[in-house]
Parts: sequence; C-alpha cells; structure tokens
Amino acid sequence: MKGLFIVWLKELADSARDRRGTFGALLGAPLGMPLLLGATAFWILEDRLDEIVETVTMPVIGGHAAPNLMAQLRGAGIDPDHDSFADRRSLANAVRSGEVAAGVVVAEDFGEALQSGAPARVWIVSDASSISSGIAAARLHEAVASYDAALGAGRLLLRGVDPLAARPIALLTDDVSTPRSRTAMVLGMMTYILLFVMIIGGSQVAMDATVGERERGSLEPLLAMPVGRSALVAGKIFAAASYMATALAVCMGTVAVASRWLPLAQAGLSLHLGFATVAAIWAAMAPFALVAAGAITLLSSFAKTLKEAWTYNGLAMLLPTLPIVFVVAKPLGVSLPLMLVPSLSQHLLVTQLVKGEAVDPIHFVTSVASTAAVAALLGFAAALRYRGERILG
Amino acid sequence: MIEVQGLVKRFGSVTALDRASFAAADGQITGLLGMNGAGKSTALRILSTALQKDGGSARVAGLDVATKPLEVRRRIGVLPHGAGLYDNLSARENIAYHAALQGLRGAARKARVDDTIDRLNLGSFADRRAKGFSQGQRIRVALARAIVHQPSTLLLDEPTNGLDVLAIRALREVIRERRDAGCCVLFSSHVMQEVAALCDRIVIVAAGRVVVDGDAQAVLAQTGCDDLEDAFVAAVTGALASAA
Repeated sequence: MKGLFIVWLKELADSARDRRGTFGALLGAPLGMPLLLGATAFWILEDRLDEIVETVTMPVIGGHAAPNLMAQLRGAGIDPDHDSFADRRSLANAVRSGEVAAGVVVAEDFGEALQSGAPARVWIVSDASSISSGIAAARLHEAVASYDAALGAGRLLLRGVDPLAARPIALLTDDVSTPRSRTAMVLGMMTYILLFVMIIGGSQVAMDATVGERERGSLEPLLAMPVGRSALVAGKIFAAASYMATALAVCMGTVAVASRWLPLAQAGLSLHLGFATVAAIWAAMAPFALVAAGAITLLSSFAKTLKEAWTYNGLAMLLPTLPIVFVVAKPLGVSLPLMLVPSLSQHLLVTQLVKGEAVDPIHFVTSVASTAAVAALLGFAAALRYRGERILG
Repeated sequence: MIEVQGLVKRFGSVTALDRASFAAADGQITGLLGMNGAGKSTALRILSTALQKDGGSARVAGLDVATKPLEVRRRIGVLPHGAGLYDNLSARENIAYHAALQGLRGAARKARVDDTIDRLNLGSFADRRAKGFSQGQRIRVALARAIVHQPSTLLLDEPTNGLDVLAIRALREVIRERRDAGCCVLFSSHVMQEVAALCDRIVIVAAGRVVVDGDAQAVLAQTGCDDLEDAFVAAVTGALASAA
C-alpha cells in the first residue's frame, strides 16, 4: 500500500511540473467548454427573447391592398416595410442570403378575393433551415392566422351562424414540462461535456505515466523496485483519476457561476446550481474518473508510443458516450439495473440532479459500486500487463 | 553473490542466451564483456527481474530471481541502459523517489539521499531538474539512485557509454568504493579496456554463451594472446565461427 501512495504522489508532482500541460488539462477545457457553450446559449436565447419583446420591421409586398392585415401585423409588433422589395423574387433572394429573416407577400387580387368570399392568398417567405428565419416566420404566421380567424368569425356572425359551430374541436396542448425539466433537455449535453472534460483532464497524465515512462526509459528501473505491480499500476491510475476529478470540479464550478448570468428564466428554463447540487453532481460523476483512468492505463500498456496511445484514447473516448446516445435516442427512465452500467448511471443521476428530482440513495450507491468494480477490473488487467515482460516493449 | 547456471532466453526465434553460466562474487567487480547483441543486457535484465528466463537458473544473494522477485529487488541496485531519469524531477527527487520505493522513510531517507548526493559529488546540480543534464550528470544521478538503499548487488548496464574521461574516472571511483564496501558488482561493456581497467573478473559472452571466464591473466592464458583486446577478439570470433 505504501508503494501505491509513493507512486501516486510522485506522478501528481511529476505532471504538475509540466505547467502548460497542467494548465490545459485543469483550466483549459474545464473553463473553456462551459463558457463557450454558455456564450452560445446566451447568444441564441437573447436573440430569441429580443424577437418576442421588441417591435421588428419586416418587408411586405403588396401590403397596401390589405390595410386591415397591416394593422393586425402592427398590433403584433411587426412593422411592415413596404418599400425595400418590389417583387417576390428579390424578397426570396434576400431571405435566402439571410439579409432579412422573413417577409410577407400579399396577392395582387387580395382585395377582390376578400370581397367575393374566395380565399385571399398571403405568402410568408421564410427559410426553414435558419433558426432566426423560423422564429420570424412563426410570428408572422401567428399574426396572419389570428386575422384569418377574426375575419372568419365575423363572416359567420353576419350570416347568423355561431362562429363556434365552425370549431367543433378545441385543440389544446397540455405541456407538463417544468422549467427545470426543460432545462434538463437543454442541458442534455451536459453529462457528455462533463465526461469529456473529465477524461481530457487526466488522459495526458495516464499516458505519460505509462507509455511516456517506457519511452523515456524510466520504466525498467522502476520495475526493479520492490513494489507489487498492482500497487504500481493503482498509483498511476489514482494519479490520473485525481487530475480528472479536479478538472471536473473546475468545470462544475464554472457551470455553476456561468449559469447565473444566462437569461434562463426569461427563456422558461431554470437552473439552480447551488453548492449542494454541484457537490452531488461531482460526487455522482467522479467515480467514473477511475474507469477512464483505468481504461487509458490499460490501453496505453498496449501502445508502443505516446502517439499510438493518443490514437487508442481518441477511439476509447467514444465508448462512454454510446450508452448516453442510446438513452437520448430511446429514453429508458431511471431504474436499478441501469445503475450497473458506468457512464449511463452517471448520465441518469446527473440528469435527475439537474432536474431537481430526488436521487434514490440505492441508485447512487449502486452506481458508485459498479463503477468502482469496473475500474478495479481494468486496473487488474493493466497490472497483469505490467507483470509480463512485454510491457518493456 | 550472483550465480547463473545454464540460463536460456529466447525472443521469438532468436536465442539471446544459450545456456550461459557464470558467477560474480561479493567484494568483486565482474565485467560482462561482449559485442553488441551478445546477450549482456538480456542477462542483466533477467537478474533485475525485468525479463523472465526460459531455462536454467539465476540467483542473486542466494535468492532465485524467478520465484522471489520482490526479495531480489530489495537487494539489487540497477543502472539500466540510458539512465532513465524523470526529466521533470530534480536529481534529489529522482533519488528520493527510488529510496522511498525501496522502503526508506522520513528522516532516514533524507539522510541517506543527502549522503549519497555528497558521496557522488552531485551537490552542484542536485536541485536542478534532470531535463537539462549532460549525459555524465544523468549517469551519475542514475548511479546514485541505484546505490541509495545500499544494495548488496549492483547491476550496471554499459554505464560508461557516452561519458567523457573525467566522468568515467568519477564513475569508476564510485564503483570501486562499492566493491570495497563488500558489494557484488556486475558491469557490462563492449569495451575491453574499460573492463580491464576496472574488473577483478572478466566474463566474455558471445552469441548468448560464456566463452571465457576468469581474471585478466586467465583470459590471456585461455586465448593464447599477449594483449587483452586481441584476446577478446580471438575469443569472440572463435565462438562466432563455431556457432555458425
């Protein structure tokens, strides 16, 4: 056991000396990833909020033939611009190029059609592949539809018919999502980011302590030390896992602080990452560091060079995301058997914590225990590799 | 005390050691001399428990390296090919790490590390990181690391490679000092002069076998030469011819 601690501490100190590597692993990704995503989310949310609150100007062609429709648009906060575009084609080009978000084209025979009771045509020109165009089009659509409904109801009343007769079904949507659960959907990527940041935080250490040690020729004298191979390997795995757990803590802290500045409430989302939640998410995720460190150590024991180890590691990084991709595509709900699968159990627990749901202590303990068991298996396999002479290459 | 009997080691179809037998006594420096690829490093690596033998036996201080590897590792100091230092650690930290892994703790470890640094005269660069060390400095630190726990057996794999004459002399001094302290020193080299200058006993290996074993006089007598270098060449070429 003493040997394990000596190796652990030495590997921590050795990696810490590599300032740039340590800076990148513990600050680069853990600070950068959440801030980058936060900034992107901020930008998208703000854009969306602005659209709803502010009055926007949108191009309209042929609007003079439909003064009541124009009034309706103005009532909905859309200021019609009649002068910028002369024909439908130039408007379409402007929407396609992103110059304007969306626009309205009123048919030339709009007035006659209304008078004769035929459907009067109105086009909304939009680009479904653009988010901002979609938002603008939805606003236009709503405004035109409500004008349509009001006009239709007026016509029925004139004919002595109750407008409700034309609406046999009242189609309502009962949205059961809460601000917190909507947040969980938005932050569905969170587990993946946390996993990624965590693994990156310790990969360099794990590979340096194994392939790196061999490449530099310090492995042979180390193997001549009277320390069991399992203690040696465990010390190296713990050192890498320590880095991973630290990177995770930095990342969690950044998420907690950054989430205070996001206009989440206005967007109907809620993310209250208090100290207890942050600590719980860290505790749920951290055991996975041992699995990741164990896997990289084992894989690296097969690699001849650091370069080769990075290739293996890149492929192995995809592995823990597979169960998460699976449940995102096919939601399974939380159950005890799923807690036996590392990375999946962490994903489910973190999602529950972000939603503000209570986590079953048995689930938590099962997740930690099964994750530790898998890590022990990986460590044992790595120790077997170190017992053989092929480890020297 | 090192006793090697009929040692066999194969790497795939290559036989690196072919029933090699030799011994190295305590209080003596034994030189393992051979051309590149003769099997010197393989023999040393089996003795340091890094490699496993395919046949025969190897004992260090009376302990079988195959069945008692941990016991053997407590009694040996190893200087591998190329030193193998940690570049991010200082000379002192490199030495202290191995001292700790050898079971030295606290004040006793500090005292032993300081003493070793003094004796090998490493003071001027002991607290600098190993990254910028010259080859001579690296070897001296690696040697300090190998003797810090005062092992009864020293295994040195071509320690003088790439060293200048002053560094070689300093190294020889430390090795002799260990011998005089009763240490069993096994030293590999492919340079006859090196071995002749330092060793009490010479073991010449060729194609995985021991072809000559004895002191300088015995080597000259066995090969019928007047000069040790001629004797080495004669012994090795004779062995290679008969192997072919």
